[in-house]
Amino acid sequence: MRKQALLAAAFTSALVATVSLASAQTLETLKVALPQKGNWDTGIVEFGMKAGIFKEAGIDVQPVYTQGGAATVQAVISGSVDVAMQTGLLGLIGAYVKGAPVRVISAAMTGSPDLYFYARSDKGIKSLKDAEGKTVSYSAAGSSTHLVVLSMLDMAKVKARPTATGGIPGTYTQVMSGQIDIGWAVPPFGIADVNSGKITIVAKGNDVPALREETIRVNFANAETLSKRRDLLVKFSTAYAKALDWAYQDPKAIAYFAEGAEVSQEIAAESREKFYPKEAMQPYEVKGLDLAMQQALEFKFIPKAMTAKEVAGLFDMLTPKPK
Amino acid sequence: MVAVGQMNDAPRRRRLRISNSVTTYRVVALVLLFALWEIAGASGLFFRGVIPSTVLIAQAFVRLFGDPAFYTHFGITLFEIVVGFVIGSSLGVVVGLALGINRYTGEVFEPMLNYLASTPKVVFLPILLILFGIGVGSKISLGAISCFFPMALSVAAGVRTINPMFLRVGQSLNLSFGHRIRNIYIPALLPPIATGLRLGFGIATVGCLMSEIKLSNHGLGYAAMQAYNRFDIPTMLALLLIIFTLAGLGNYLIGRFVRLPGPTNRRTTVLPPR
Amino acid sequence: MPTWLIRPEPIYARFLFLGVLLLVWEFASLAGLMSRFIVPPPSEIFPTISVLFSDYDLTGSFLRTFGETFAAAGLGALGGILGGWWLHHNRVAGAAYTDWMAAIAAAPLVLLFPLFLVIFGRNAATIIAMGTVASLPPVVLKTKEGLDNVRGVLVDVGRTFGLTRWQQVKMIMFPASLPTIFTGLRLGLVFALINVVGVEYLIGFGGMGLLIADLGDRFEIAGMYAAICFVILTSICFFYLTEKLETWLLSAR
Repeated sequence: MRKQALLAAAFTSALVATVSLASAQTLETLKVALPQKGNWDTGIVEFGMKAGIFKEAGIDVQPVYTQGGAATVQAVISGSVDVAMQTGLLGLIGAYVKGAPVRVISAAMTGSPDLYFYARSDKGIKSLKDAEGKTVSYSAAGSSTHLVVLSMLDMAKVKARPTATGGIPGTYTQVMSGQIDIGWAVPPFGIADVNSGKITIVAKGNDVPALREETIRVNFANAETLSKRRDLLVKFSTAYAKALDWAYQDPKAIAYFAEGAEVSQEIAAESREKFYPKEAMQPYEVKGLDLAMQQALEFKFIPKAMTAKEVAGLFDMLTPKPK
Repeated sequence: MVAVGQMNDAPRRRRLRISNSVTTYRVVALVLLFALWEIAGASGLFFRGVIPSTVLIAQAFVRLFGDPAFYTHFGITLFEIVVGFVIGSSLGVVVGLALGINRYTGEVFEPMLNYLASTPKVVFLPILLILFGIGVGSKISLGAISCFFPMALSVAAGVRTINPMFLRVGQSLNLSFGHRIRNIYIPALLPPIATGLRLGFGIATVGCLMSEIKLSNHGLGYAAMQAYNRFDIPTMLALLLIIFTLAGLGNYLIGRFVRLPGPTNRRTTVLPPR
Repeated sequence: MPTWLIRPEPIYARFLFLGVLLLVWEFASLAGLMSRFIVPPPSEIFPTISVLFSDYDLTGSFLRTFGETFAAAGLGALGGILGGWWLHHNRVAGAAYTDWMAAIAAAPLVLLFPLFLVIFGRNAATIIAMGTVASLPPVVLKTKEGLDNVRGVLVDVGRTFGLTRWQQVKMIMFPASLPTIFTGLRLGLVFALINVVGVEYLIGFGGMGLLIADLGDRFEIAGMYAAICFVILTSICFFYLTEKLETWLLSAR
């Protein structure tokens, strides 16, 4: 009897060990850079992690929070992370043209429905016309906010001073303490202040018509990681698309979003409905690349005029299109 | 007898009086600083919350010390500083010796070292970020570069002040190169090495923290910037005070362990050529 | 072999060394021994200098950093000499605060920039204030040290000649302590430059620091190297100028 019990115990523990070993082996680690923590768009990966979608695909995602734009590109080039999400395409084109080992693996945001610019209400800045000579913030060089600010000022023919201010809360601090005149943000951040009249919205990202059909943010990987671990990145991209679908279906995503952004579930839900249409976040296709190339030249991210064909090598889209 | 006693007593009493006044001066300065801070904070001259009351700062300290994440940040920063400091200082000693022992190499290379020593090291950070990534590598390397220069220059200058007689004795005894380094150079160079260590520690700290502030996910510099971004000025100030204490403590401990012999170093204050 | 070939004059040897270094760098980069993206060859770096002048307003950035540094070092010199004089003159104050000053001089003051940012705003005032804060302590300490170390005999001689207090300061104390004070001023200038460029780089505002950050962010790596060379050039200029000024002052004493 005792012998049998011992045998059974040994058998069970061996089984448990094998199973846990197997699951540990199948889970591959992937370091993923997430700029601007707490936003809906960068949140998708976190929501997917919480819902177990990446684990299911055999990936152990290790999130690394970075500042946007060039800082994220630096993190990928130096190999500090394998993949980065939601990064401005313009800066990436510039880096690629200069020889940086980066590859775009999926589109992340087309158009700029979420972005808005605001000023302290007591400053009397109501629209971009009042911005002459003022400082207008963007997150970091080469980011999507940089592109939007430059295009916006270009269109309004206003000479303001674009200034890099980093993330959303830091920008808010700088606006409120008078270091910067016009700040940038995305909902749900600052919506309560807009409603209470503390801050005034000066412009919105989609005010520039041309940008509405252009992919301004992408997800990208280190070229070496892509060539060595292509299968893993394909699995990741597929799981990301799945997480995206899930986030627009399951109310739990809203709960996660509200928790991360420290707002009520109502405001979180409203923000997603109004500012993040699902089409804008399609991962399959980078749109409006010709326009992006023009902008890259105009805003000095590339040294000479180039066509979309000349940067074709930058794109290696991994997300399989749904049937 | 009485007269002798009086003669001995007068300077002692004077010293006592001065030391009492010194304490008074210091207390007055601290109280003044404290009062000015509180008045400035309450005056409404500055944007609300920019100069928080010391009570709030004290509360921030309590909160930090109770937060496990703080100790992780602290540990990472300490690790970066120590590793960068050790690497930079060791390289500094080697290069300093090379420049000091041979007069000609010294004449050729030392001016270049001097120029680089007075260059702001942070300008190398963008290169280091691409080379070593956004993790501890870029922080350690900037810390090492920062403290390399004062050590190299201090040791090189130290070698030249070694009594030539020792060197001649070493030569006539036919000591090997290794022996000469161990028995003549190293003992004679302890004071300049101590100076290099003290100067280097402070700027290695600056180097590591600057790169943490610019781009990182961990460390006290990162935590301070996070607090700044949340406009949590009390926590930011508490973290800065902790960083200052860390730098001061490091400087003090190095000063204690590598005791400078003789009064020669007392009169002059050593300052880093950052 | 003639000696000038084995041991050329140090200055020529220096240029020779730099030349060889650049050549090795060039070939290593071209041969792919170093990533061309991270370490571009010098032949790519030097041509970008003209682009920096035409497209990135290098002159403006350079002058701006230069100006901010001089303003900061000037304020630091003024305050530092007054402070040093007071610490020398008032012995109790000297005993009370000199150690504190030394501690402040060794502290990582540049990290105070967020506090200055929220107080002064994102403008030149913050940068100059940061530079001043850094340049003040060395000037205070070296001024006090210089004055303290003036030999008592000299002061006595002045007194026997019946010099007024001001004359004593002007004719004896100041000239005798000048070399030490000058060391302080020089350190103050270097500290100011380091803090000015550092803060410019960290907050993305101002002259050369901003330029380097901007070029790095645009992955104009060759241009960034060129800009870094300019910062090194600035410190060489400062080093050289102060060295000349020092010899001139000491000879004119």
